[in-house]
Amino acid sequence: MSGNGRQFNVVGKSVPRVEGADKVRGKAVFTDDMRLPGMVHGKLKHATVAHGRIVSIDVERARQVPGVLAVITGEECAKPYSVNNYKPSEWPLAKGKVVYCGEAVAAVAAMDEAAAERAVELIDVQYEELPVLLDPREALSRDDARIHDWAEHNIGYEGVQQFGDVDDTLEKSPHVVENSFYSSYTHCGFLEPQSTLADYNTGTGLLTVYTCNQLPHYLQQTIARTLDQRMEKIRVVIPTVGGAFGGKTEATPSCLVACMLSRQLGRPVKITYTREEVFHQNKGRHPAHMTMKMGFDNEGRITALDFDCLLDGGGHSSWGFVVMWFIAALTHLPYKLPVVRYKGKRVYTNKPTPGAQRCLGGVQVRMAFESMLDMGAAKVGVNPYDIRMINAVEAGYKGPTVIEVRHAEFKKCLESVASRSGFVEKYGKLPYGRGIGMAGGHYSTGGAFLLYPSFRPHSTAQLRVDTEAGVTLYIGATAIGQGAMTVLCQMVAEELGVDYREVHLVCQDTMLAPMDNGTYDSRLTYGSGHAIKNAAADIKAKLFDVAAIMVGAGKDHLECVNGEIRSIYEPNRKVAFKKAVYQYLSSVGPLFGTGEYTPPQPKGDYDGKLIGPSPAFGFTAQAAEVEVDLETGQIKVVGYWEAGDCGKAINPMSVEGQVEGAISMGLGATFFEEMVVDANGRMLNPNFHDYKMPTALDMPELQTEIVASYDPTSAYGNKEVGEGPVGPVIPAILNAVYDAIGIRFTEVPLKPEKVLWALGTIEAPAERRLHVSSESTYCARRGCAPDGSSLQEP
Amino acid sequence: MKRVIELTINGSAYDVVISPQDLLIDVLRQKLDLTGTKKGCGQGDCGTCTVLIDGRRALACLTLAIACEGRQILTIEGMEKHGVLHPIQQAFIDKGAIQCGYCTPGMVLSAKALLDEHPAPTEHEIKLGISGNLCRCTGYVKIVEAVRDAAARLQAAADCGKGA
Amino acid sequence: MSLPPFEYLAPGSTAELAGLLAAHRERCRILAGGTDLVNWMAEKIYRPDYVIDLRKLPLAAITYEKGRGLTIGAAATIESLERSPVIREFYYALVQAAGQIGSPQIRAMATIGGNCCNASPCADMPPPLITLEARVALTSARGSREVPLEEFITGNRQTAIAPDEFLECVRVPDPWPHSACRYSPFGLRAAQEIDIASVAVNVALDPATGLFAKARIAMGAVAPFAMRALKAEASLVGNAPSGETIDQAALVCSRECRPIDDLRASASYRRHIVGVLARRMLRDAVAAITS
Ligand SMILES: Cc1cc2nc3c(=O)[nH]c(=O)nc-3n(C[C@H](O)[C@H](O)[C@H](O)COP(=O)(O)OP(=O)(O)OC[C@H]3O[C@@H](n4cnc5c(N)ncnc54)[C@H](O)[C@@H]3O)c2cc1C
Ligand code: FES
Ligand code: FES
Repeated sequence: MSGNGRQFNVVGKSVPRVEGADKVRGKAVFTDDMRLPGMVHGKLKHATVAHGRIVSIDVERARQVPGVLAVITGEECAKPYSVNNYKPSEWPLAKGKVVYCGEAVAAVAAMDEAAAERAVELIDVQYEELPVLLDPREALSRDDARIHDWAEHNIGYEGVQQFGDVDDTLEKSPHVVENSFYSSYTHCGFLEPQSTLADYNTGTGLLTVYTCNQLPHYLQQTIARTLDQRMEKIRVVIPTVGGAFGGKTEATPSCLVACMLSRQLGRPVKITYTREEVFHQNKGRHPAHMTMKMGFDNEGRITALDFDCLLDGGGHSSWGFVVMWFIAALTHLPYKLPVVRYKGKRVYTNKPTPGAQRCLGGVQVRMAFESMLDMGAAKVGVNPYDIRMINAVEAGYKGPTVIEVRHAEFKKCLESVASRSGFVEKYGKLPYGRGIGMAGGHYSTGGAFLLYPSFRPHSTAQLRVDTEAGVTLYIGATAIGQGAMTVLCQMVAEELGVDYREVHLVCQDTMLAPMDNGTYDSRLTYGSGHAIKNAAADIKAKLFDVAAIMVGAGKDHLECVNGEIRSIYEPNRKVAFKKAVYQYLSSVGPLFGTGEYTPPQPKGDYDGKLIGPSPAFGFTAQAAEVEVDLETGQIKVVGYWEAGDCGKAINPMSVEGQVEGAISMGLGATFFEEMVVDANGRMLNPNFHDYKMPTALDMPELQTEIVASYDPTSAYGNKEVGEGPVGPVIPAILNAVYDAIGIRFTEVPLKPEKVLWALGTIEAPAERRLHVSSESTYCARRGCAPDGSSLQEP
Repeated sequence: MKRVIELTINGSAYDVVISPQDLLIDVLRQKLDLTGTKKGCGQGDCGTCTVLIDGRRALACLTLAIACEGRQILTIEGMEKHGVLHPIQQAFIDKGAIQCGYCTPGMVLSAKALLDEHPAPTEHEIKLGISGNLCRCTGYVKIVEAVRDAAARLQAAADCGKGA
Repeated sequence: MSLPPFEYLAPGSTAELAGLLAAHRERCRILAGGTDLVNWMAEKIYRPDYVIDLRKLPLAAITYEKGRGLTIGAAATIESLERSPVIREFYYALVQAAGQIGSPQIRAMATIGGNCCNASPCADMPPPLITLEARVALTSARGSREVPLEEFITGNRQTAIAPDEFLECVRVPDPWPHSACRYSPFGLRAAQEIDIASVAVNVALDPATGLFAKARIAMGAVAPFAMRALKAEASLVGNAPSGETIDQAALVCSRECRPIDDLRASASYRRHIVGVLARRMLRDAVAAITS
């Protein structure tokens, strides 16, 4: 049966990617692969100080370079911008002052790249240097050195959410644990550097922008607002995107500058970042200084959580307020949490700005929360697996917030990893130096929050069916490598009974495709699924009028399968889909269907309530077994297990790919990844040799499993998988390391030297405060000395 | 000083006007429209610009175009023959080894260099063979599977050729 | 990033190469695999007027003759070293070092001459070569001279090469009798890694007494250039290859090295790792001789 039950023909199949052949042949066109007639090249000049007033910019020598067509500075910029225009602080080119090293201050357009580079070298910028604030804790205390004049104590956003009486509950709880954590400064690490090709048509006044971005409709709006260009005169087209992971959700300065230069010159301008520029543009994960205090009852049920979160916001506003509130929202799942207080602050510092990175907010929360759970388990005297099962949410769960879980198979995930990894048999019993750890996680699938300030649908699908093009789907969705195009085609194919490879997809183009909220918050498959299903229902309602007569069966008894429309009850009564379409077009007229979807809007009344509630949540559980080399401090992951509840997997092969990629990103953050700035705010590793992402040789064997699941509220039973699985990786490893050596690391990346500092093998440099804690419970449980000695000797 | 050189790419000869300092990556992408070769870092760290020169892996971002005169360059565009994908390419599609696709061309060429030398590689040899190609999307699991599968396909084709 | 302009020359004979070097001296740079040079030019650290490519020259041969030792042509790639059966048989540490450099791509491009001339403190080839008493042949129109590699590399990115000279080959004497050499780098990732520290050892045992007869240890990434652990070497010679002797020598290594704190690791960690690696490599080498 198609679409109207849990049996599907195309949905649920691991079909290969529709765009796979183009990609594997090198024929997929990424932005930097494009060239337009008359195209010229742009290049940005970057700040060499992290905080400074711009005293002067001398562009005269740059203008003299042969081939240079234009040189612009912040003086030419009309308005600053930020996500949703909350505290806009970022200019296409810095105006008045720079707030991080690497910020763009001027730009050149020239006939070729070499001339543009030469000209940029010749631009002379003088700064009056200002105090450089790199630590948000320090920035808070330096109201005398404001990074933005309007930000008192350098606070961008702050807010409190409180549900119940936290102090009282904690006081009455028999077991309370407390710890503080630091999650690191990581980068999305997509391999395709951002690139924009802007093409302003002086005849029509239309500005066409080709760029790699996850939110084309939102980008269109940012360009309109920042450059004073009417929306209708902007067309954003997204060529193939070479990875994004959240880092391509915002306009880059280069994108806005390319638009400005193209408008000025009346010819296409392309700007492609170097890898160093990509790192300076950043917009990766927010480092967080977190303190948690968590209470438990005697059975191990969580009674209350007191959570303080200080976010290092870098120089600009970016996604700051969303991240701050998302972290609050993500604490409420996947465990029942009756009483909570969250205090969030996002503070400006003089560093490249963090923004959104895959599993936004979740990575920080999970790192702290899952560590706290293990600490609590030890205190209460239960196994880490049991404490998770005791607290795990189930379908129907409503916490103190407006968040409601309509469907969940989280417990199945926990059971699966526990049994496959042998968790209970191994935990606390492996030889010293070897340990196993577990963590859970979840993620939303599109919130109630719309970036686009209006009340229109978040997802819209238009279907056109005719004999010229066959089936064409117009949808605002953007593929960033996650496999969106294929699953959307599978959904259409499922509904209309056509081959998924025959479905034409028109997307990633603000002129041709209807408005969509964009690719973030794992909302795409869920929201688009509903919209497509509705659009197809619209088509079928129309087409079946005609087909019913042709088939000789009731309109309500028809279905589309294998290129035919047939009676559900008498499958022999059928007509070819194409024939029915032909008949419809001839007798009725054009055949279009539209569908839309908007997630439920939460009713509660508290700060930040729009951020976090979601129509559905994906869940994941993970376990890691590690071996610590006690001499070098190196940690080897010897086993890794995951089980995920993503609802119905539309394309299981794609789901596995998402999970495997998510875990590799998590492992990178656990062991290697960190952007490092020196005392002057200069990034020391804006490159892939010192910003280390895992290579094939760094990956342990991953054992993933998709648990049987079907969310009845979803169009195809599907939920989320793209982001949630990143979250549990860090704490699963941290918990395993604790099990191995009895030291609880509360910061990442977990470099081998930190392990030796913590073991006392070598002394940490004086200026380096390491985040660790050793708990007496460890030795008691294992019955050994802190170095495990008595355990090893028989 | 600009000059004309002849480059042999994917079996075809191209006359190209270049300056001595032009890098192979830029000549391929900008002068010859062979944009399948990608530039993820320009510093030798990511492997997206991997091509084969005289059968050996090379990074086009660290290679002077002028130094390639008289050598055979294979880029991703040369992998398919008469519109039929190379078995490695087909395996990448079938095994779900492609996500964003940005690492894919370089990955396929590294796999080719590997399989040319080790037709039946071990898991470790596969990982080693692609260890100079970063992929941020896949976690490498499906890429390793695809290379293993490609090895089997190539082996089967070779056996079949012997039998005939 | 585009490279600064230069003139490209590809001499067809070493005589021609010597002539070009004599003519252009400081204004030229030799190009071998380019894995260092191209990056350095892109960063505008070098702006040579002439780039002289070695690719047409017969400088890539690897030959071994008993009694005369091993000769590695300057343009031999790291990959060819890693795969050379004679090197694997007699100079295993060189295979271990070659196998750890960069990535398969880098190994296919990079040359031994470039690795030595680039003289990076964390280069992988110099430490094992130094323990093997390697010498480099430097040639110019004036003639040829041989210098121990240890003296050739004079500092961070500094060598004793004259502006008109090129490195023609690296010569490694026959292995000592009853000896084994081992090398281990240490980094964070399993590939594409820049060493935090590395240790190479080359030791010989006296077949009669079983005591250490000869020992050389070199440490990488813990000083401006690969440095010998002279005191540690001395502590071995004449002593039995016991765990105690080895532990002691390892300890001396970690005291002798002169590491710095940087982005990649702290000095104290580097010191510690040098000790661990020295111990592990010495044990491996002794095991290889005695087995
Ligand atoms: C991504 C990446 C990873 C790397 N990883 C490692 C690593 O793990 N370990 C490591 O040791 N190195 C590493 N390197 C550095 C580099 O690959 C090596 O130093 C390599 O051996 C240099 O050889 P080449 O032939 O490419 O030298 P080139 O770049 O051609 O030359 C380097 C320098 O030596 C000079 N030179 C070259 N040959 C001669 C000669 N015959 N006579 C005189 N001068 C000469 C050149 O003029 C130049 O100054 C890495 C580099 C990159 C880009
Ligand atoms: S672009 Fe050449 S290795 Fe990254
Ligand atoms: S598929 Fe995106 S980087 Fe590999």
